[in-house]
Amino acid sequence: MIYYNYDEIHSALQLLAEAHPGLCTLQELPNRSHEGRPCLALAVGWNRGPEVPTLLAIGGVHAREWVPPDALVSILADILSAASGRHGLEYGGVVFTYEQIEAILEGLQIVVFPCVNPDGRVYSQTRDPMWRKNRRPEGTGVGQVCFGVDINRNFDIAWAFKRHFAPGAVSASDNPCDPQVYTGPSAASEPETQNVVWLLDHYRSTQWFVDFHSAIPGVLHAWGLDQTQSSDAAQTFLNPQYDGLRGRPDDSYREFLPADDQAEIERLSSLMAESATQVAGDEYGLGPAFALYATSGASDDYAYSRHFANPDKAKVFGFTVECGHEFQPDSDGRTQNIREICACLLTLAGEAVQAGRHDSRRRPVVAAEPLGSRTAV
Amino acid sequence: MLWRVKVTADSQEDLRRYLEGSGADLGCRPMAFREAEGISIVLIADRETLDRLSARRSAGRRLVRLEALGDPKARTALCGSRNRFLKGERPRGYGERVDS
Ligand SMILES: [Zn+2]
Repeated sequence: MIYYNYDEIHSALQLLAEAHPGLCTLQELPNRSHEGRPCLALAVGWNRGPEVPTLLAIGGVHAREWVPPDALVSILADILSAASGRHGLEYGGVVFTYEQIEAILEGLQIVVFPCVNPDGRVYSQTRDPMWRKNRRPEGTGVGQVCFGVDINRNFDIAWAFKRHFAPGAVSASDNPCDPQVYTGPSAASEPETQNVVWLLDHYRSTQWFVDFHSAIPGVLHAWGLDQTQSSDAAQTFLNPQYDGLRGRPDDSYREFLPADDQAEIERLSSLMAESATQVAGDEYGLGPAFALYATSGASDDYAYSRHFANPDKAKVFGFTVECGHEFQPDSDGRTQNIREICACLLTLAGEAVQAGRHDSRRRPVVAAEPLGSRTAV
Repeated sequence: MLWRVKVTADSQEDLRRYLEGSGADLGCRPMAFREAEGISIVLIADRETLDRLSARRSAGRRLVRLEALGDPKARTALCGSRNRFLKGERPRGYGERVDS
């Protein structure tokens, strides 16, 4: 018995909040899961609330990826223990001094939602280890009921994939019986998706967002919709003129990504990949989420898209970090992947504090070279 | 029985054609990697999918079975139904303590 079950994740957050009331706030999410499970997040930092610069980290979107929720509970325990015990933390060769951790907790609020998809986790851990989606039941009209929406195709970003993308260009399905990538009946239809949206809305000063997954080690960043370009601001997911054209590589449509955002996103991705790699020598690649196919309705693109769709919303740099090589590694593999996620997240938190202090996001930065050959194409 | 499988094609376009309708589980996000021998993806396949992919092999397309994913029962045994945190255990992390 090495992985946390959902009840344990829930209890762990309650225990941490009780033990460190000055440093964290338990946040009950507004929606229960389809099967009625309550959902909790924990906000950590000396200053907390909707106006505090925030890094939002989520995990457990895909049920079968068992490590990220455990890793997010672990990093909460580590950070709180380091702050109360006034000590630093080391993950493999990656060291964060007490002073660095204290600076993070002074300058940033870290909101952690370890298990977005509780029903899926319970089902995966007890019935079908390869289960990925949530557990929404949906009739198919021919007397059959299929279960589950892929939460990471359900966010409101180019959700209507048949309208937005070229035929066959996107990894998504409108068939409720698709075992992996069913998009759901409408954009953000799922209570689990709505909880993540609620966190971004509630903590309106969120500027960094990471969704932890597995199991090809790497850091993915904008966009998943198409290849990118920085010169034509009209080529965006919002422009119906390009409906039906998105998602094909090496053609005339590329998603707009402002050059300074691209530089900062690549810089942060590179630092995260480097620190995760340093933990145990397993190489984390990095690159845009658009690879073999486009993706619609994914959390990282949604987080970054919000300020394009509504200029009143804050700009959020969105990332997906995939850890390890297996969805359910054994105890040693789990521990290594947890350490990699912790190093990665604390590295991003350290950079976020620097960005807040010096507003470095407005400085020209040089994109670091991708690590090794495992860069996504 | 499920296997992790590495599939390679000469071009991205051909890799997509190779996988189309194969029923392969492309994992979390369909990540492909440029390697010396072409464009590769690691995916999860059952026996039927493996057979379909094997039948479609042609010049420039390669299929390498990496390893079996193991018995599902063995993996569910890595989880339990007890709540250890109601029995006095406290959540702990895996960072080593560093004294400044
Ligand atoms: Zn995933």
